[in-house]
Amino acid sequence: MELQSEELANDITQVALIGALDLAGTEEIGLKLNVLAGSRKRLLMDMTGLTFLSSMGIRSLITVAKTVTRRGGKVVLLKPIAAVEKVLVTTGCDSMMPIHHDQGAALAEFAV
Amino acid sequence: MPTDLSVSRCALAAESAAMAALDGWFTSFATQNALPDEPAGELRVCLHELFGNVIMHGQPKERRHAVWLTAARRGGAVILTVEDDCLPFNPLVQPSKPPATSLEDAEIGGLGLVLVRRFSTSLRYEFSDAKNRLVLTRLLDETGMTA
Repeated sequence: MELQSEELANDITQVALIGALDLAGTEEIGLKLNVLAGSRKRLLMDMTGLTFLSSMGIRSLITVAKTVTRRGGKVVLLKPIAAVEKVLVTTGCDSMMPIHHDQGAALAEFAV
Repeated sequence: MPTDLSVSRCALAAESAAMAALDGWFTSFATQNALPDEPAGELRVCLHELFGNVIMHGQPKERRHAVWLTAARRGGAVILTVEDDCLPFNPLVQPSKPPATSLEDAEIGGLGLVLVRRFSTSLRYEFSDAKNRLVLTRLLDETGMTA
């Protein structure tokens, strides 16, 4: 599991999740995710390269979103593949974090 | 009694380092049985949840646990059996909680069973021969299952 972050305009940090966000994957990137959640207010989670998501990954995403939101920020999910999106929807994550398949629409979420 | 067309077995230590072996074993089974991508992916999620539960919650914590996995293709169904040598624990008696409707209301844990229930057709638990045994059946062509 890899995590790559990139600073965009308007204080938005794009975080690319690459690989499988399962129990092992969360152990690999958990610390980096927590650091980002504690230091950034606008996180765009690019899920294009996320091939698998389990409840342990969901747990990490919710933890990040709670941390960022408590600090007045926002987390937006971008372009999950169908299998990953089904896990997100089944666990209600789509009601906690906006999901977009268009980057422009995703970025516009931060202006709301 | 229908005959199993294909059965595969695997024994793993209950530790996160074994997840890769779990994936390799199930991917091989799915390929050999030409399982469609969607149910195969969802069954993989179920395996991760059930295996992960043993790693995270298996008692007693003082000793390492083993997990025995069986995957069988029987006609239009896949049957997964997950056995462990932990103290008796029936996950199916845990209340099924509805998905959170907001981030404020969201609980961090307890979502694994939500996924297992959603992605399976039926679930059965028993404790015998000093093992927890959870049997998950998934009909591959069940209407609405993959909607």
